[in-house]
Amino acid sequence: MEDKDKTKEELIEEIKVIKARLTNLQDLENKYKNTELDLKKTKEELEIEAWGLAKTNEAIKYLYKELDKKNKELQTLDKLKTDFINTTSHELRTPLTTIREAISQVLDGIHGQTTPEQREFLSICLEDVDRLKRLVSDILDISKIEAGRFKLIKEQVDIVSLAKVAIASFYPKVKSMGLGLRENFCSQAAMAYVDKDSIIRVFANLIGNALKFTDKGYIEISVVDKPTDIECSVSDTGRGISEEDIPQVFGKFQQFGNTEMAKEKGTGLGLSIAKSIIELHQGDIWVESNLNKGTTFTFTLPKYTEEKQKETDIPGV
Amino acid sequence: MPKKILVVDDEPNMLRLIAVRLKVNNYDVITASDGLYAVKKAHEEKPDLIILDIKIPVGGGIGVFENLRMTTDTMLIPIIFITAHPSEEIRRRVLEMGAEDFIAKPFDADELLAKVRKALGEDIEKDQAQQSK
Repeated sequence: MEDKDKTKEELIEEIKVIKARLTNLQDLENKYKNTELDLKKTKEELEIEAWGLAKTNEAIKYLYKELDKKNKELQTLDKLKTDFINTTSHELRTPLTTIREAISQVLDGIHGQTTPEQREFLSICLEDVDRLKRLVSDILDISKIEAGRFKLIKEQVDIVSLAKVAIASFYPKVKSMGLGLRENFCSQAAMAYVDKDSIIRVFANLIGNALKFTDKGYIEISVVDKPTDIECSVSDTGRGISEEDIPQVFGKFQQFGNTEMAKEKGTGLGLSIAKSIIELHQGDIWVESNLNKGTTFTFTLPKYTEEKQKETDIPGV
Repeated sequence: MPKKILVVDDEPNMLRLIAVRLKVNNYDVITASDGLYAVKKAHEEKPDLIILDIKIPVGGGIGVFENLRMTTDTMLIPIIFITAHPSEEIRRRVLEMGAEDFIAKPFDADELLAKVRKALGEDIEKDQAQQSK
């Protein structure tokens, strides 16, 4: 019965409160609607980003495939290069062998008597066949060096012994030319970690060159023990190399002056190969010369230590 | 009695030149230019030495080599391989397999004859004669 007696004021208050609550609820509803819109926007933005990432991912996968393809192509090319070197080697060497042998046989009188004039001209053929043989060999070596496929079989060796091998093969020639041969070798062993045949080849090339350009005096070969290197040199008292020619000395197909020694015309590649060999051994090679006084070629090889052996044992090089 | 040598190469010029060079040095020569014929001749003639090019049709030089090593009447014949390939692996493999020797193209007559003499044991007789002097 008392509830019905609520005063007018109390009712107005209650209505105010209810109105206020209604406004609150409306506010909340608005806020909720805004949040919902924000979330929707964010969701859209995230979806766009996700799409972008998916595209990037696809692109990366595609690039990986391309990289793999290119890698395989490079490997194929590399193999083609090696096959080319090997095939060319065979293709060039086979006819050279038959040409040389056929001429040799006629010269040896196996196929009947020959006149001196015939022998003279056949000898010319033979000389150039041999020159071609050396050229083919050198070109193939250079191809291998440039393809990084020039294999070195390294071992601990006394460099003096290698110099002696090279000198021995030239000894008759030096004597027949009336030149002196001097040796200057250090007293203890000059040990280095090298490919024996390659270093002998370097000595032989330098000695051969010295002989080509010297007609009087002597050739001197020295092997000296330095603190970190073995220093080797081949000197001559020959005609020397001019200052302007010195920079090209180690270039390919460089020949200087007239080589009267028609018997063994060089390929022009010997010094380039020698330089590559020394550099493959982590050494240095250089030349000093005075016109009409003589020339000295010097090269260094790092001394043997166990660390050097581990360092330089690079597979395939 | 002259020693008999079987020469196998698929290049007719090479075959002829090697045969001539050997004949002039008093060897009897039989020739073949493919693997099948080479094996046939090896069994028929029982040569004292075989000079074999690695690259020949019908089995290749290595095929011929393996075949001959499997029969008692041919397994002891020394074999010298000819090849133009300078690769270390082939050389090593061939010598490991039991080939007598190896000659690389291009070679000259002196080199070939020296290896032939060595394979036939003719060098040894010469060395022994010299040593006893």
